[in-house]
Parts: sequence; C-alpha cells; structure tokens
Amino acid sequence: MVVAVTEHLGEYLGLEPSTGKTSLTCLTMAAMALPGLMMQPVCAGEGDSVSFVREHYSEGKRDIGGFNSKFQPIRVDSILGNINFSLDGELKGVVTLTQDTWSGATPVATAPVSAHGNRETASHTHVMTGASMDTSGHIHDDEEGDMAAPIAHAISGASPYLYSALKLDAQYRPLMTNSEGKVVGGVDTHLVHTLSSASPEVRQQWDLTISRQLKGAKVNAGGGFSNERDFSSLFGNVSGSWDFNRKLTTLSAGLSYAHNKTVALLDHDLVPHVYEPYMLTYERRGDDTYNRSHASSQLALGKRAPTLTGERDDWGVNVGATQILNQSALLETTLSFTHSLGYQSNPYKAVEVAFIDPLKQKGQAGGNSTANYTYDAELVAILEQRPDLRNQGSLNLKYIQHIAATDAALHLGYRYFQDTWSIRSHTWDAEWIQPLSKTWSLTPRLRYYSQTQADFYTAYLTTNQGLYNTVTDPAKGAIYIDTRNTTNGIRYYEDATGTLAPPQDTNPSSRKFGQAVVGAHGRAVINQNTGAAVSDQATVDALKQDTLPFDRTMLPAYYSSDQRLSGFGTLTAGVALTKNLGNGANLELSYDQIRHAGNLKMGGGGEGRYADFDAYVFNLGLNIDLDETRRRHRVSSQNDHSDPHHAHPQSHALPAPAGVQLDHLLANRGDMMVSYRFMGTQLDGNINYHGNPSSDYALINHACYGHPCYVRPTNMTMSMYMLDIMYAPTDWLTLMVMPQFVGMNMDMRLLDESPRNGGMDAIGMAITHAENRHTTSGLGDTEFHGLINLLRLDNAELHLGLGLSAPTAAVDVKMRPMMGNDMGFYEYGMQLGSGTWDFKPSLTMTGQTTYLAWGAQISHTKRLEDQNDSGYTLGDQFQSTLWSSRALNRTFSASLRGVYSEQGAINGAFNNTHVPISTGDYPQNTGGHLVDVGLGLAATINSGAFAGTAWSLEWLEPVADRPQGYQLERKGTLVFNWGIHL
Amino acid sequence: MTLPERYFGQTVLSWRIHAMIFLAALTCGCTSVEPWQRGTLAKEQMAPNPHPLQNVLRTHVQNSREAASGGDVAAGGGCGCY
Repeated sequence: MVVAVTEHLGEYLGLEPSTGKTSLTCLTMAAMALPGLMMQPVCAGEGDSVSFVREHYSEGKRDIGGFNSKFQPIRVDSILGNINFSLDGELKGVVTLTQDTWSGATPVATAPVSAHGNRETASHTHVMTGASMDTSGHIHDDEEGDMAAPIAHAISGASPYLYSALKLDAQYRPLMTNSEGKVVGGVDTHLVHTLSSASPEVRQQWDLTISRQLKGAKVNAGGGFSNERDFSSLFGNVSGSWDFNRKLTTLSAGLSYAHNKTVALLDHDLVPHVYEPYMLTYERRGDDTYNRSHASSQLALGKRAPTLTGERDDWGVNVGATQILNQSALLETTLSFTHSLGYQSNPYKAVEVAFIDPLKQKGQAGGNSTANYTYDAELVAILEQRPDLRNQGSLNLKYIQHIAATDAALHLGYRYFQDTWSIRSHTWDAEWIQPLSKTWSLTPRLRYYSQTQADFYTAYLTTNQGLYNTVTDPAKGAIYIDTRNTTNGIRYYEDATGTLAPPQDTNPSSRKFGQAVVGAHGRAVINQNTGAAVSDQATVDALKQDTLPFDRTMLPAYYSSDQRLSGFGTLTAGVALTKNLGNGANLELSYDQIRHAGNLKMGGGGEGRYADFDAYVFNLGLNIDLDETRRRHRVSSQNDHSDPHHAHPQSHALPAPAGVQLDHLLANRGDMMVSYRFMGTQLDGNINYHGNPSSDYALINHACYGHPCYVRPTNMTMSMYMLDIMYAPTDWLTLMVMPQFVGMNMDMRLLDESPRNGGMDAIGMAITHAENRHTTSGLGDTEFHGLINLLRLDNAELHLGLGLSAPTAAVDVKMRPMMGNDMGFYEYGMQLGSGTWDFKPSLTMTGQTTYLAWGAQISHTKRLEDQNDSGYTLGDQFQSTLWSSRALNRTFSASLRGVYSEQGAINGAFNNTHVPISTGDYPQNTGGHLVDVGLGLAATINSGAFAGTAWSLEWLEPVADRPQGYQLERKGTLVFNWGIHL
Repeated sequence: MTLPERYFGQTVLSWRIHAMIFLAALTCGCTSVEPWQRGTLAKEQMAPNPHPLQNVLRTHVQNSREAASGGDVAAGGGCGCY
C-alpha cells in the first residue's frame, strides 16, 4: 500500500490488536495516495480482515434551458470486495476488487440557449432551415460513399443537437432565436449543456499490495489494473516509511507509475455532429494525429465509426510526515506531485465553435440582406483538445484533536492543489467523530471544495472564418478540383488572360467555343500542375471550386468545455454511522448530500447556474475482522473439547455444495454468519429448439413469432455476487438477508441471409448496434428469509424456509437512443431482477454420518404480482435438489448433486418501447425444464489464518435441458461460496 | 506561453511556500509523548481515516467529478469519461 506511518503504535501501547485497529496505517495511506496512480488503501484493520462495500451515487436533474429532458441523470453503482491477509508474521497482502457501473446522461458540450441543443426529438424537423448548411453542402453532394445517408439523417433529426446556428449581435453575443432560427428577442447569453445519454459503462479494477514490516520501517509494493470498454490502466507503486524520534515522527515516501490507454469508438450519436470524424471520414483530409503537440493520440477510421486512441503515462511521487503533537493531537502533512504526459482529453466531450464566415454575412453575396442581426454563425462541435502535459501538485494537512469532554475526535483537513493547466483548488473538511456507546458511533461531516477553471476551459468558441472556405489564389483567382478525384493533388484555374466567350447555352456539354474547351465562365481551364490547358470536356464539367476546412491556427491551441475544468465549488454535508455488531463485524452506513455550483467558487466568478447540480452518495460497508473471529473460534473449539455434549453441529458439519442455499440453521442463539457467493453462468453454442440445433434459416423464419429474427445471441454470461448475512435470534430460527449485485453480458451476430442488416430506423439501428456487446449490471433483488427448524435429531434435521424477494433490481434497463431513435428496453434476460415481490418457500432435510453427509431440498418461487413496472412477470419457479458429500480428510470434502428445475415462461411483455430483433426479445423463448449434475469441492478451515471459514466450489453441468422455444444452450454454472462464522 | 515558464514559474514559486509549511509542520515544537501516554491517540475515532471502507469509493466518485485530486485515497484508474 502506499505508506504506513505509525502502524505499530498499538504495540507501543500494549493494546490488544482489536482495540488498536483502523490504526494509523491508514493515516498516510489515505493522505498520500495519488489519483490514478496509487493503490486503494482499504485499511479496515491491521489484522486479517474481509470487507464488502456498496455505494450509490446519484446526480439530480440539471436545468437544460427549459427543455424537459427524458434522460436520467448520472448514476454510479459501485461494489468493492477486499481481503487483508498475512502471509507470515511480517509479510502482508491486500487484494481488492472494485466494480462500478456508470449510467445516465452526461453533458457533451455547452452552447448558448439559442442553439436549442436539447430540444425534443419530435419538434426538430425544421431545425436546420435557414442555417448555412450549404457551406459544407458538397459533403452531401458526394453520393459515392454510403455514408451520405447518415449525415443527412443526422442533421435533420438526431439527438443531441450539436450542429446548429446562431445569430449574433455586433459584440458577438448570441441573440434569442426561436426553434426555426429566427431572431425573436434581444441578447441572450444564457448557456446550457447539451446532454447525451450513454450506455452503461462497467469498470473493474483489481489491486494487489504486498507489504513487509522491517525494524522501524515498512516497505510496500503493489500493482493492479483497471478495465472498462474504452479505457484501461495498468499501475504499480513502491513506498516506504520510517519511524524517527522514538516514533513521535514518521517519514514516508512513495513512487508510482501508471500507463493508461484509451480506445474509444466515438459515440454513434456524436459522430455525425462532431466535426473531426466528419472531416476524416468524408473528406479524408484530416491529420490523423489528433492532439497536435504530442503524438499521443490518433483518430482512425474504423469499420463503422472513427476510433480515437490515446496513451498516457503518469508518474507520481510523494513525501509525508506524521507528527504526534501531544497526548491528544497529531498532525499529518503530505506533499504529492504527479507528472502526466500523453492523451488527457475526454473522447466523448466536444466544444461548440461558432463559425462566422465573412463571405456569408449581411452585405456579402452569400449573406442575408434583410437580417435583423449582425453576424450569422454556423455552430459546429469539434472534439476537445487538452494539453498533453499536466503536472499536478498538492499539499495536504490533517489535524486530529481529541475532545475530552465527549470523548470525540475532531478531524480538520485542508488541501491545496495546483496544476499546470492553471487549476488551483482549496479543500477544507471537518469531521466530528462521536462515539455514542461501546458499539455505536456517529460522525457528522462537512466538506467545502473550490477550484478555478483551467486556462483553456471555454463554454464555446467563436471564430471569424467559415467551417469550409473556398480556395482562391491572388493571381489565378478561384482554384478548382476534379470532383471525380479530389485526392490526386491536381488543381485547376481559369485562364484569366484567355478570350472571354459569351455563354451560349446553359447545357454544359454544348458549351464550346472554337477549338478550346472552356470553363463555366467561358475561359480556358489550366491544369496548375502541368500548366497545360484542359482539352477534355468531361474534366471541366467535373470541376468545382476547391474548399478547405477551417484554419485550426485561428482557434486557441487547447479548448475544452468539460464542466470539471470550469470554476465552481462544492459543498458536502453528510453523516456516517458505525455499528460494531460484535464478533468482529463492523457495519458502516453513510449519506452525503452534495451541492455543486458555480457561485460556490471561492471569490466568485464561477460557471453559470446552468452547470449547477445536486447529488447524493449512499454507502454501506461491512468489515469482518478475521483475527477476532479466529480468536473466538479457538475459544469455541476448546469449549467443544471440554464439553462434547455441547451442541455445535454446524461448525463440524460437512458444508453443503456451494450452489445450495438455505441449507442450514445457525446452531446457537446469537450466532452470526456471513457468506459471500459468486455464481457465474455461461451460455453459448447452438440455439436449440426441441433439443435440436436451429439453422439461421429456421431462426429467421420461426424464432421471432410472426416477425423475422435478424440477429441471434452467440454468447451470454450472467454473474451474481451475493452477500448472505445470517443471524439466529433463537436456536430454532435463523434470519437471513441476501443483497445481490448482478451483471450480464451478451454478444450477438447477424443471422446469415438476415432480411436486413442495418438501416436508419430503430430496427436497423438495433441490428447495427448488436455488433457491440450488450452489458448491464447493478443491484439485484434483495432476499429475506427465515429458516424455521422443524425437527432436529442427532444426525439429521429438517427445516422450513419462508422467503421474500424484494424488487430492488432494475427491470427497465434501456439502450440509449441512437440517431434520435428510442431503442427501448434491453432483452428480458438482460434485466437485473424480477421486478416483482416474490414468495420463496423451501423445505430442506440434511443428515450426516461420520464421513458422509446428504441433503434434499425443494424450493419454489411464486411471483406475488401480476406484472412488474415494465409490464411483465417472470414465470414461477420450482426446484428440487439432492446431494451427498464425503469427507476426504479433516479439511476437504467432495460432493455430488443433482438439480431439477422448472421455470415458467415470461407472462406479459414490455409495456414501453422495445425493439425486438433477436430470440431473447420474445417471452415465448423463456422458461423450461433444466437438469444439472453438480460436482463440488469444499474446505472447512479449523486452524491458521482462515480458521472458522468455509470455502466451496461447485460446477453444475447441464445434462438434460428442455427449454421452451428457441434458447441459447447453457454451458454450465460455476458457484463459489465463502462463509465465516462470527 | 512556453512550457518551461509553466514548469518553473508560478508553480515552483508557490511550491516553495508549501515546502516551508511542510517543514514547519515537521519541526514544530512538539511535547514528548511517552509510549504509555498514547492511549488517547490510539482510540478508533483518532484514526486519521476513521471510515476507510466508504472513503475509497466516495473519493473515487469525487475525483471523477472534480479536477483536483491528490493527497487522498483514489482508485487506480478509470476513464471518468462521463
């Protein structure tokens, strides 16, 4: 991890490890980690521990200029799992997995309100009327490329609207216009974000850190990687800390490195609106090095959309010191410095540029002679450009004072930050940690953050040139190119000294004068490269005046409208509640309310109100101290030996196979157990119908029930992460709560001979988009169970389970709109839960002899509602399973299991937009009878670092599936289960 | 605006000030606290990061909504493209 300072303070104090936990280890870890570089120091304790955290961040709706946005604001759902373990006395390791899912709509650009960037899809058909579309009109004249259609479509009706027009007054201030571009009022400088929704983005990060304790010092080394669809990061770090001055002072230092890579397929909704991909795709004149100062990024033509790639290296150093000031106060200071070189822009953010073409203004040939405004501007979005170099430095101070009167601790923190993009920021935070009793603690907290804007931040740009400008030579006049071959480098001009011929005929083919072939103005046409007159009429007819894209050097070197680079402040107020559940388990809950506003910036002058928003963060964490559990386990084992009749059947029972849930009650009143279960199911291969593989022909014609199927799933993975918290209020009842996190991936392919392979309507877009993996993830349904003992014999028991599943999962996960088309819901199988309250009874019998254990269970899922919020219900479910396990030695056991399940088909159908193109879009293709055989291995650890824990793994192999309709073949399910008795 | 100016101008000047604060903090006149007098300092509420679990994720979101970071717990990566 980063740096541990006074880690062994507890030792000095002669305190028990459990009292000194959450010690000063975290002190510098927290203070010294650099963003994007350092490992995540989850330092729940010095000893061995396991932690789970879940967080939900949600932003409020933004003011988008009076338009009612149908987009959901940004939401982030995160989970974190973490294990701290000892390899031996001095060597320790920490493994952390973090997964977050971002979804919702995000600002892609900023524009004056008059650009009407967020107008609703239905009312925009005349949007471009009056705009100077003809400046780039030749793009559309070029019918050679198959890409002409998307552009034309995009301009008439996609969302968001990044391409627009502005009318400006003499001071270049925007004038109020109506949706048809007519000036209807005075100066209106209000700005607004142009929002665009994005598909959910899932990021996973793995970290490993090894640390070694030396005499008076500690060294750490760590590394990890972070992965999401368009961005990956690989990082490593080393650090050390040294105690001085009888451990009153600790110095620390760390070095870290990260390599980041962006491979962004430019957003399909943005590509037609953003200028660079335009230029590259249709003009093929773009410089494919996108950032000019450093060759760190490239914009390349992909098969369907331009791809922006970029790489960046980050180096970080930090030094810190912690000083004990007196018996009740300590101070910590840290200096950190980060050097980043490479692509640092955001591939999905654009900057609006108002192009004022001097030739198209009032009084000019191309201008509007009766205009009631001064400048006519074409508003075009271009990709943002940030410098390749960024150096960041920060100074951190933290002062902690014990308040004797209430035994509270006051934490005061300050951070100064500055970078070479001219951003300076101040952060103050204060926390009052008030222990309420031996087990409860309450922490109110406040945080204030303020930053100045980056020197290249701009809401939008204005430039005195056209988006395209005709090429004119001072001596030769207009320069022409051959529209049949624009890239051969040959330019033409009309011979101004030649004979002027009177136009005889408007028909170009007969426009001849004497022996010479002449241009539109009746003069001879000269090939500039050879100096010879053109004698071929077809060439002359194909000429048009050459145009070049705008001159970049007239724009600033760097520009970005990313709100995070603007000037603003945030004020956060929150409260955290900590409860020690006993038995080494700690629960943390917290809620913070955030206000982000331009006028909260220190000294004023922040971004306008349009950029303000509110947000909240809810966080739930559970930490289990394995040292504490181990200690209790030892005590209880000793008790067992001294009293063989004292019943602890569960702690010695062979564990049930990993995939069996609700298999046992806790034996004694007050017992607690926490388990973590991962279940991954893989489907791929054939799509079967009545047990036989279906041909693509059959799928097209039959699998979509009266409609053609266009694509089919080729591969699907379903992952479920479940936390299972068990508590026994009495010895005949065990209560369980099981929150889940689920994630789904699906790949598809176009069917051979599919009647369609794309198009600009919703079905066409869905087919095209099916080339991309569909991904959904988030909180699953939450189950509550009560297990009631019915019969307890020496070697067998029978119990009844009564369960309720709460619809905490989303069943309205939708694809983002594409080219203005509402794409509606994802497939039924990609939704995250049932959406209904479900009743889940079960009956379980288990038995055991010395080496053998067996069990049988029947369970049922009954949907308690007629339909969920999305208009359907999953079918009821029935499952029976039978298993037997055999002990291999004191630790390991193996299991064999059979499972039969029956699931009804989905009732009802999506009640809102849904674009069916595949087998998974039809309820008829759900449900069926499934038979699995499971092979499992389990370990119950009775000594050592993991004493008191049970581990099990099971593979379930489908042996006789009889699915209804057309369904992708199941390949198997892997279940991993880890449990600890507290 | 040339690169070296940005590198060595304003930035380093203010860094000197910070370095001074840093050194001052290091060498402040602290009373000697014997090991057996450190009971209060070892209390859970006195831990510099009293809510480590929630801070990891909270800070990750914070860092992807604000330009400044550093000196705080942060995730190892992420585009933060939203």
